Amino acid sequence: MLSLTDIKHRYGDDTVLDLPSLEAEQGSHHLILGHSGSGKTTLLHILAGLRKPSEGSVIVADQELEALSGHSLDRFRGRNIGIVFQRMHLLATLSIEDNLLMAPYLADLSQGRDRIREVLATLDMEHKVSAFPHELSHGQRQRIAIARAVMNHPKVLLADEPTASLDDDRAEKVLALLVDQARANNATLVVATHDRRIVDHFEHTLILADGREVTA
Amino acid sequence: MNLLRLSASYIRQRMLSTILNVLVLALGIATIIVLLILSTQVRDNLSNNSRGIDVVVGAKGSPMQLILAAVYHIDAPSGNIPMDEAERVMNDRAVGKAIPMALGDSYQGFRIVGTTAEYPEHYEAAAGEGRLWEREGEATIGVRVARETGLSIGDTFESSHGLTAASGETHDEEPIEVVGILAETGTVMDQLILTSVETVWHVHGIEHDHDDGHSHDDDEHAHEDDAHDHDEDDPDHVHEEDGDSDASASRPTGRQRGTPPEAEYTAILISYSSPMAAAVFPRWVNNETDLQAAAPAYETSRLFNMLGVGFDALRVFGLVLILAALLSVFVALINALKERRYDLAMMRTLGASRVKLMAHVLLEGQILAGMGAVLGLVIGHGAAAILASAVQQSRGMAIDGFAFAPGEGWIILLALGAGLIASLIPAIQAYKTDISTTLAEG
Repeated sequence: MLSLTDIKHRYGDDTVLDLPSLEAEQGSHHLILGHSGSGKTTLLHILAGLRKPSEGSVIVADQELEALSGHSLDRFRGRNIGIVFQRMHLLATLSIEDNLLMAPYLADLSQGRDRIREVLATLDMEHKVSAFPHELSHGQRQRIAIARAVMNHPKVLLADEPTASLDDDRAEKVLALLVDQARANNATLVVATHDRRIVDHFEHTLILADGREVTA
Repeated sequence: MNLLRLSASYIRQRMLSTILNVLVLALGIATIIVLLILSTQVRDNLSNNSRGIDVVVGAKGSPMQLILAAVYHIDAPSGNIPMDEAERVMNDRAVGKAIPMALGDSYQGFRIVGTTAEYPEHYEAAAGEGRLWEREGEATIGVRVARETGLSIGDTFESSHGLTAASGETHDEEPIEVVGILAETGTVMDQLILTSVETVWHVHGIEHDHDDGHSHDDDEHAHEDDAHDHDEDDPDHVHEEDGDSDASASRPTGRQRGTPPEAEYTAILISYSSPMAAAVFPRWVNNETDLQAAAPAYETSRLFNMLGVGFDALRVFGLVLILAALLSVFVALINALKERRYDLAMMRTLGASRVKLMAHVLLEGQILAGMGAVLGLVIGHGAAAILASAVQQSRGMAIDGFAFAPGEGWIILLALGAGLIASLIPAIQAYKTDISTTLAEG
């Protein structure tokens, strides 16, 4: 369950996000569509607890984020929210195995190698467990970023522009992986993008313009 | 996965910068460690060799030279003491113990000291093999002498005139027999050849009384003073009249060529009969006799004050190197932090707390400092061992380059502290990373 109520976010006097309500059932898939500067990334960060809204309430996995702060919010995020970024941000100095182990380690969870094998198997990447990020193709790195996001069985899986700069075929594949992983973990999937090619894959779409919901 | 592994992975990534930072830090630490080892051990060595000796009496001249020659055996003596003056001093009631010594000869660079059995006894040196000398023509050698010259019990050797290996001129018709080797004491005893004063006089053809029943004609001595072929140009063999320092028991003060040499001592090591003596005895010797009295404790302290300027300069140099390393580590971490701000932000999205990220950066600084400290210890002790070997060769001072000096622990703490300071600002920056803004930029 994911819920936003009367969310407003301001930078100085500028209101960059004004969203009266957003509800998402557990396991549902949502798309936030908007151009650059529409407020979609801000919304995604608010959902992830990376940014506190100026006003309003955010509930993720039955937890009001407002009630959490500091380390408890960090730990909650690590254990309940998986995030995939457009640029992936894999740690170049670590092997794929260590990159994946970072997720449970930083969330203070036990670090099981079985889980690594399991996740990599679903992404067809078991053979790359000892490789380093620079040894992988862009598509492979994207898979590893998805694997890292689902390592801790998140209740919410967030993705920011996962298909940007990909051709149709690759965009389809990445989206399929995200949907599959969200289903496998019964996670609520929220994808923020400006890429209209993927609109048809989502049952719920929120279109943002200048921080407000608009109709298609 | 853990923080140590994570921090180590980042250090490995910028290997060249890491090596340079660690090396600069290590050199600073090594410099200070070498100074610590040398200053501590030289001071201990000097103090050990002068223990129980309140004052040294010798010919007038530089008091420090007298101490260096008669106590530490690293300089040439300032001259000789006529026997009547020596006896007057030794019989003074302020004198508790008086150890006379006649210097001037050597064997392969090791000094021959004509003295009494009280001398090794003063340093608690006993014969490890064989026995102490008893008769004229016998010698007991220090353990280092035995090791480096290969002399063993029963061997004989000829002394060379002068105090260095290059002296050249030998008393080759008056061989001295080795009758014992002293057990190692870690003092100056280890590098001396001890014999009776009479032996030294004898090889120089000086007339003297024998208390061992031994007698001989002066004609037996082929190397009486006149028989010496003194090379006036020999820089290592300069006469006392020149005011130089290679005086020996065979060349009495003011003697003319052709005059039979007289028995003389080079110096007398004295322990006072009571602490009160310190107030009057040196003044009496300096004012009322033709001799001088020098206190080892005072001269050693003076020597260290002089050396201290050099030590301090080198210590400052070492600290400057550590400071340079600190700045270098700081710059490296700040730059590294800029490069990995997305990594840090990503770690926060994975659940890392601000404190964990701060600890990660601090740990990186500590790893660099720790590596510098360990390498500095290794380089410092290695360099100290090399220098110790050189000092032992030239000055006969036993220094263990691998022994830990008190204060080394503080140096390691200083290095780790430097690492902590260098990484503190980058760590605070990591702590303050705004993940949302950073990720939005990326």
